[in-house]
Amino acid sequence: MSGTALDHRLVRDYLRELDKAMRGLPDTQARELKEQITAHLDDALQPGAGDHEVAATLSRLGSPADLAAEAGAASGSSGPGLALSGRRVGWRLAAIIAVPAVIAAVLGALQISGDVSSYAASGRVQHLARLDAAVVTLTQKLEDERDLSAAYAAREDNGPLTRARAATDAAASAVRGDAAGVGAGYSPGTVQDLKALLAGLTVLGDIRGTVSAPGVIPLYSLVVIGPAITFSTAAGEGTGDPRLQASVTTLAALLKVENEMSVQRAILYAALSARPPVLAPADLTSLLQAVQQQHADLSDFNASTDTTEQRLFSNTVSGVAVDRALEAEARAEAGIPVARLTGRFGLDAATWYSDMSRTIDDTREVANQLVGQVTTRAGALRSDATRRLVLTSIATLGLLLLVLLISAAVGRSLTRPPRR
Amino acid sequence: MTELRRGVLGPCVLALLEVRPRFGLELVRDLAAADGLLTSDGTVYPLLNRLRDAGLVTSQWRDGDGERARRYYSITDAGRESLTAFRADWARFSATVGGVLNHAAVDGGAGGKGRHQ
Repeated sequence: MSGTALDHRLVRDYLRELDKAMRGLPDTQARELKEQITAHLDDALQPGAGDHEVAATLSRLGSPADLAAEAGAASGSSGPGLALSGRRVGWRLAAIIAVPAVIAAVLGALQISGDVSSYAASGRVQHLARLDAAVVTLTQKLEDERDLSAAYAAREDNGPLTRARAATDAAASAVRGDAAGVGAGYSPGTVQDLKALLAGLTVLGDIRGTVSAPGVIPLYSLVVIGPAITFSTAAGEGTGDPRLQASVTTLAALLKVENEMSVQRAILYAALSARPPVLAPADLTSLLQAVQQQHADLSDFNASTDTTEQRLFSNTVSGVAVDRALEAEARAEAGIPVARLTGRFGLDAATWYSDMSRTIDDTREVANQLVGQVTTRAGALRSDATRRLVLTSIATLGLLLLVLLISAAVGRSLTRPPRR
Repeated sequence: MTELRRGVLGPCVLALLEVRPRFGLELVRDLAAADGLLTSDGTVYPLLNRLRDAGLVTSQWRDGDGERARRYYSITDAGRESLTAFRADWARFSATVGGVLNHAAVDGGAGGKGRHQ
């Protein structure tokens, strides 16, 4: 196209200015106007036209800014209010779309972030519920190990103790596994309790080494079983769900009852296993204390729960073995020497151990039901939080899309004349 | 005056295209020949595009004799209808405006005085 009027310096400047002025216009509109103006100049100007002629033609054409403004105006008959420059229309259009979209996005993000944090919280609750179940199991295994250890010195057959220790180790490693990840975001008390329990577990080997020493029962209680129960008692804190917290509290109360039963089993088992059977005055005191503590814990349990679980407890923890164990214990408490118990009432270590174990197992059955309740409740909270998060996300995205569509439609109707 | 010009320019374009299809410069020159109708030549093009968007005008490329192709604008049926309607409106409108203007020139001063008393 060399030699045409379009190569004239003034024409090139004009077209460049026009491009600049039309930046706010839609592409197709800008391209069309450019093509029309170019054709106009090509037709109007002879090749080699002089500066004066070119300047006059361009001046008649009007300034690029005016042309762009005219093209950007909504319609030929509209008032001056809409005769904005293309750039200002573009800016307003962007504002119309951006402001509601940003507001919707911010509100949506706030809602989503709230739901994300309650989703994370429900994850922690579920984690704690799982951990608590593992700790309850560990407590029970530790009780068995302790009670068998108490009679260790007097027995030749250590098979049951070996098996009990293996069971404890398995339960302890389950607790250690679940304990990983309990830290930031969890209730500080719970984190502290868990640390104490894990620390106690690290010295379990040392406790086992002192098994023949007197006082092995309180050692277990103090170093590992106590911290386990403490953790279990406070595990419901910070869950923010009254129902879950109530179940956890009831479970912990029952765990204490069970532990006191287990202490009694240990003391009398050790006494009956001795040759000859003997209950030292200090052990009798401990036995009486355990019985008293069990009653206190049982009333805590009753206070913490409704009649359903109380009935469950009294129905489950019953039977011939339970009655026989209670009877034997009542005699021991009454000060009847252990030697006479074995002689006159035919009580021996194995019978006592198995009768008391029945009582304890019945109690554990109730505890397991409570563990089930805690787990189920935590799972329900988790799936509620998940559903809420998913619904909020979908609703927010939908809303955002709707806002974008509507404001884009409104914006378009402002820049284009309605079809008549 | 500018608004009035803007308002009538569209119908004038339609009237020219009713006679025969024209290309851009041709149309601009014919309009410019009518004194006082165009403020600037370039205004015609955005106007043509709006008329086209409204379905009153169409455009197609045509080869000239040995020259380069040009975009020719022609009126549509809807454009003809719109033009007919405008002619009727304009006749009524100009008669009304003319009547009011002439009347106001005669006794507009007296009426203004009466209201101020």
